[in-house]
Amino acid sequence: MVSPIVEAPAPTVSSTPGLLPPSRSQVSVRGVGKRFAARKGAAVVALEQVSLDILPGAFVSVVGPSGCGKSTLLLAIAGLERPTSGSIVVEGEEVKGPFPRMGIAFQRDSLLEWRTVLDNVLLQADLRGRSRSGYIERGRALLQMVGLEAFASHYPHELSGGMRQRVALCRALLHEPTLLLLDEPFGAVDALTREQLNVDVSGICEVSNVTTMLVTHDINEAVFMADAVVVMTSRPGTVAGIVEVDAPKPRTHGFRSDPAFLRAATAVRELLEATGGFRR
Amino acid sequence: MADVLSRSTETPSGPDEPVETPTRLRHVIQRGWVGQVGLVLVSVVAIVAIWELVVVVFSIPKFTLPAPVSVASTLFHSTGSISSDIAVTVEETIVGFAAAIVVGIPLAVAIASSRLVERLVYPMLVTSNAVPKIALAPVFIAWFGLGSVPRVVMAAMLALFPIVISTVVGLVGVDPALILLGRAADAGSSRIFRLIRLPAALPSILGGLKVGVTLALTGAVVGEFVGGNTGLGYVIEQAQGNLRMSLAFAAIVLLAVIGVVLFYLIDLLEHLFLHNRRKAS
Ligand SMILES: Nc1ncnc2c1ncn2[C@@H]1O[C@H](COP(=O)(O)OP(=O)(O)OP(=O)(O)O)[C@@H](O)[C@H]1O
Ligand SMILES: [Mg+2]
Repeated sequence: MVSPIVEAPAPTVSSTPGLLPPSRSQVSVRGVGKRFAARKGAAVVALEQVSLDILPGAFVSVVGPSGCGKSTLLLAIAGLERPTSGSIVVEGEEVKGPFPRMGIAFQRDSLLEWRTVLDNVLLQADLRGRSRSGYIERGRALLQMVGLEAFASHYPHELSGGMRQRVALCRALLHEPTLLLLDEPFGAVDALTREQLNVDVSGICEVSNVTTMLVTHDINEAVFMADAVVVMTSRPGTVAGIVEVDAPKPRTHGFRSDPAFLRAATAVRELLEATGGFRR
Repeated sequence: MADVLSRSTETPSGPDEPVETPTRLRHVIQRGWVGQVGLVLVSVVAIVAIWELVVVVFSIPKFTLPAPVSVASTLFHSTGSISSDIAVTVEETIVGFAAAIVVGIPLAVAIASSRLVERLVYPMLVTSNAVPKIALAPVFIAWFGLGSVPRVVMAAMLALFPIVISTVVGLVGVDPALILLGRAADAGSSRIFRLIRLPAALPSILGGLKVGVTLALTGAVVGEFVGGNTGLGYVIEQAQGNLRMSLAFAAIVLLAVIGVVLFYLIDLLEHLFLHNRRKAS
């Protein structure tokens, strides 16, 4: 079995034996660093020498201590934040701006309060300047997939937090992305809803065959949904190690008591502890 | 896979039930607006009652404070003869207010979207607002003559500041995550402005318009006090000079009515545009 991720400790492709050929990986991060110039005091080095490869169709979670640069890494892959060193290649092309077949969702659902649920999903087409008539059907199908078809003409303030997050997910998927980037999308919902969303999204990603990168603080969530969990060190963030989760997707609630799940979760915790992410 | 998907189907009795149905919500909001206008009428009646009571109890002379009844009778008999003055004041107010919108909103957009414009224009705006603009009325008359122009300029000047400030605040205060979302979808800044920034700023802009329209009326009346021979401001000045206090009060009541009507017209716009949004929590 080919591992869904291969860590590349060296900054260049050629110098690293055993690395996947770039044509095989969908996202290829090479020696990426990011420093933020500070107005006062020293510049903040958010990322240092981050390298990883994500294979098509893989679900990869990223965990690490707060402030270690997870969001920065996600935004760099999204083409919304320029790395100060290294390079990122998505589907064979160097990232210079937002990749057209990318979907993104953040911690806060960022729904537009003045648009109905369906119109919020269609915002994706509007923002891209595409005629929305070609997307209405897909928008409705996505809402049906997350069980919200009856709420298409409701307004966001009439929905619960979990429902809003599902709408944001439909919006991220409207244009049939091949790469889905999620930055703590379940951070603001309650634990029960969160576990349900984990199952839902695991299914949706599997059906839509979209490569997914999920940034999260929750180790259980990271392991539950992923083929592999990237563990980062505290700032400056770099890859501490990668824990693979060897179990079929999509995952269902029962997976939480599966030995494979428990093994991987323990491995992630041990890695965090060994690399200073957890204090002893 | 089907298993996963059917699991996520919403059940009506689940924890994700909507807070309210849209029809009910609309009903509540409409009733709310009608109720609000009703309350205004109640407070007007209360003021008139207190006014009448004060005049009668303290037997205040007619040329100091006329009783509501005599003001009402003056209103009834003179509204015809001062109808052209009413029209003049309303027109000056609306033209001045419109000018303030036409100048103020693009100016606010420029300030909100360019650091350079902000640094250049903002201090000027703040300084000019700090000058008591009423003191400028005689200057405007010297510049623009005795016609309606100085009054319109005065109305526009007074309305401009709140419109610019609230529009800038609205445009700048948009959730950065929304802008990031637009950029992620490769939308240019004009599309982000149209689809996200402007609608997000709308509540704040309408708030500025509410303040602005009342100030435009004030500006027009101040302009009429200072020069010219038309408008309700002029009527008040003349009536007071001739000791026709009931006419002066009739004009003041008319001004109040104009101000309230203009304010609630914008309030109505606000309810039409924003009724779907979450109430400020
Ligand atoms: N736009 C910015 N300007 C300056 N510094 C920034 C900026 N964005 C992030 N940083 C800094 O970079 C570091 C990493 O931030 P980032 O948001 O990527 O962390 P994170 O791992 O996502 O944290 P969390 O888990 O709390 O969301 C932090 O120290 C932060 O202060
Ligand atoms: Mg973050």
